[in-house]
Formats: sequence, C-alpha cells, structure tokens
Amino acid sequence: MQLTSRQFRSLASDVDDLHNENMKTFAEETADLHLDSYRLGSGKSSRRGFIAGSAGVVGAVALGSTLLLPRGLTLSAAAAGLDDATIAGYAQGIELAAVAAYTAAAAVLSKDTLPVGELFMSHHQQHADAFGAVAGMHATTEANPKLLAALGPALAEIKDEMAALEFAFVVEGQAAYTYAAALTLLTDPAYAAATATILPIEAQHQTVLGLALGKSVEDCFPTGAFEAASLGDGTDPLAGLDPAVFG
Amino acid sequence: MSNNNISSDEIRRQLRSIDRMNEAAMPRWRDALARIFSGEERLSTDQKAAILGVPSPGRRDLFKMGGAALVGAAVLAACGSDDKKSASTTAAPTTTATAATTATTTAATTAMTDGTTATSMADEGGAMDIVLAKTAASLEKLAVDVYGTAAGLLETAAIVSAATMFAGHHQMHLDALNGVITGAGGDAVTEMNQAVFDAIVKPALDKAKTEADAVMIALSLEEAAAQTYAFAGGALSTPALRSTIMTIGGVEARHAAVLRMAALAQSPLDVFPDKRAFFPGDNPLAGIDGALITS
Repeated sequence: MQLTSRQFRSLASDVDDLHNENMKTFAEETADLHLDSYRLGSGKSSRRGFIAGSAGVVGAVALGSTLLLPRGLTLSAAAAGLDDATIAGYAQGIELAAVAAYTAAAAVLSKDTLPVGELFMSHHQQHADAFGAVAGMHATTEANPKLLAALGPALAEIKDEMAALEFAFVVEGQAAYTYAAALTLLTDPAYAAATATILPIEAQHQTVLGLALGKSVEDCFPTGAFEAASLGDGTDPLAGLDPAVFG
Repeated sequence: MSNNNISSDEIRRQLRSIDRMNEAAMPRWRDALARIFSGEERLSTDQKAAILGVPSPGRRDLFKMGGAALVGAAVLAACGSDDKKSASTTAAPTTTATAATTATTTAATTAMTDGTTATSMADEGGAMDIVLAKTAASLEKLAVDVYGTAAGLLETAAIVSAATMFAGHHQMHLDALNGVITGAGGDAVTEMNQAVFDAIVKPALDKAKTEADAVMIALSLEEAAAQTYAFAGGALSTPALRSTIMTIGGVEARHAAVLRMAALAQSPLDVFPDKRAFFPGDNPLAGIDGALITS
C-alpha cells in the first residue's frame, strides 16, 4: 500500500482534530496549570512539580530490578525482514499497549498529574490510529498482548504516583528507540515520514516525565546526545521493543 | 540566595558525561554523511534539500520564529543547474571520537552497511551533496554562535550549563559535517549561515533583553532543528540515513522540552503546543535568499 506523505499526514491530522475536539473540556480545565517547581535554579524541590503532595517514593516498585538488566539485543534478523505495513501494525499494537498502561496508571495520579497522563494517553491513541490507517491487513484493535503480559507484573506493583511516572518514563524511552530502529527498516518514505513525526513526541514524553520526577538534565537524555536505535526484549530501558519478541 | 535544586557543579559533571557519550556516537553520523557525499547514496534534490533543512523546488513552507512568518519559495531551483559531476571517491569517515562500542552505534552501523538501496525517488547526481552539507554545517555553526551570543543574557548557573551543553552538541555536529566536507575535498565551514541569521535570528537577538528572551531564541532554534530533522527523516533516501537523522532529531526535541520546562518554567502541557501528538514535519526553512552555501 503506497501512501504519499501528504495522505498520511492528512489522515493523522484528521485523527488529531478529532481528538483535540474531544479534549477541549479538560484543556480548559487545566488552562491555569502552572508547573514550575522543576525550573532550573528555582530553589524549589524538584520532587514537587505536578506531583502534588508527593513525599518521595513510597512503596518501591520492582520495575527497576526487572528493567535494568544488561543491554538487550541489537536489531534482530527477524525484525529486519518485516515490511512496512507489518511494522505499522506492530507499532499500532505497541501504542495501544501504552494507552492501556496509562489507563491503568491513572488511578494513582494526582489531580495535577492526571491531565498530563491523559494528554500522553491521547497522543498514543492518535499514534495508534495513524499507524493503523496504513497497516492494511496488519491493523489491529488490540494492545500488543505480549507486551501487556510483560508489563503486567510491573503495572500491578505500582502503588503510587512516583512509581507510575517512573514506569512511564522507561516505556516512553523504549517507544522512541523502537521508532529509531523502525526507521532503519521502513522502505517507504511516507511511512518513515510519519514515524519521524512521532519519535520526537515520545522523546519529549520521556523528557517531561524525567523532569517532573526530579531527574537531572543528564538523566533526561538516557542514551546521551543520540537516541538509541537498537531493539531489545523489553528488559533494557535503553533499547526499543523488538518485534521478534513482541510481534 | 536560593538553593538551586541542581547544583552547578553537578550540572557541569553531568554535561561532561553527556559530552563523552556524544563523542562516542559521532562516528555513526560521520559515516552517514560520508555515504551521502560519496555518491553511494542516490538522492533526489528534494532528499538532499531535506538533509540540511532547506526548501526544495515547488515547496511552500512556513517558518515561524519569534512571531515572524516567512513563506517558503523554490530556493533549490538553483539546484537545477547542479554540477552533475559526482564525487568520485568515497569519503572515508574520519572521527576524533573514541569509537566506543555501544548498542546504539552497533545497530546503526549494521543498518547502514546492509546494502540498503535508494527508494523509488528519482536519482539525482551528487553535485548538490557538498552544497547541502555546507548549508547544514552553517546552520549548526549558527546554533553554536547564537548560544554563545545569547549566553550574555543568561544568569542562572544551571541554565548556563545546560546551554553550554547544547552548544557543545551543535559544535560536535558541525565538526562531524566538516570532517566529511573536507574529506571530500571541500573547505570546512567556519561561518554561520548569515542569510538565516540576518532574516530570522538577528531580529530576535536585537530585541532580547532578558534571560527568558535568550532562552526563547534557543528554544526556537531547537524546535526548528527538530522540525528540520523530522522532515529529513522522511525525505532522505535510505532507511539508515533516516534513522541516523532522527537519532539526532529526537534529542533536539528533548532539548526543546528541557528549555520549556526547566528554563522557562512552562507547563508540561506547553511542551506540546495545541496538544500536538505529531511533531511538525514540514520543512521549516523558508526561501531565504543566500541560505544555500554554494561556495
């Protein structure tokens, strides 16, 4: 299926308009949100930010121990053999899994944090819709079941907002790296163009979460000055999600 | 005196760490550029223009910075009189960085040596490659210079450190581009893109009076760069090049996010204007006369 960049963007724009229309209400509600506690040199605790009332990490989550394992795989041979539509369908499932994760985590988010979580969830839904529009027979309506299964235990361990945000921080980075790797495979410029407009958003998601969590500026660039473009089995927070594992 | 949440010493330590990681990753970027200039990669004019974020013939784009909007024009019409003589040798990428073996570098290198061929876009001679590379280098130099100039307005130690780090990254990008340019027999770019500076940056700098003003200028540059890379990510001829471009573009977007939240105290929601779920991918550079570096 060949799509021009213009057609793809038109599809994405239509989805964006629809979701923006639906999001007007909460946008108005959060118009006065000021989240300046993470400002460089502000003298304020970086732990506050929009994490209202946080008192540090309560109830350590096992996420760190499960994710921070030795570097995962590089681009797998299986992944290298995927066509563009298949990759789009895979990406759609990953995005839907992100939506599911944010939905599950919403219960522990404060009133200040929830709007941001909802925005990111909206983004992932729009990404899923965009990928689905060009995935052809590989389009799906379900979150990637293997990824959900892998994330399930960690999600179940989330007891508080800080843990939820730490979880999301890792997942967003893995999403960005997945797309950097996907770009090494996508042959149609239209698919690549669309992916190139999504990768920066995931990267910004991670950066926003990092700053809100009080991480250093350095820590908001987990792979340094370049996004990682490698894939892994999900246990490496510095690698994307390999379709050979989750496909 | 308020206590900085992040001490200046800690920021400086972290910046040095980032610099080391950046240096380790530069060989991949040099390799990608070398492939462009060697003629190994067959690029259309549009694709080459996209590499360095300059307009392509027939495109009409808007570039907005500091409120000023410029309508794009067919700047690369000049590319129609390309020197069709392509580079006869493959410019071996040179590197001053330690070739640290990382998963990132390994994956990108593997992808770039898999023999991926050009896409269906029309083949073009390699004549414009150096022009585009020099233009890109001049834009990187512009970013370095603007950070340097704007530094005079910065007061907060942590913001100064972050700006220094970002400027350092742009300098490394410039060095990499120049390494390939000189390797292909061209002269290194040592001057900023004057046309873009005069048309867009200078007016903003002339008005800048505060730290916030300076940060806003930096933010505009970072977002323009990120947008240029997003455009290039779909316009370059090979998957490897697209991926390489976006490993940089993603970081530019992170820069912008840091500037918004940590330096300008904006809301996380402000990082995504109009709640956008897709980063702008249109070529942000407009038809600025002289923006192409042809000599």
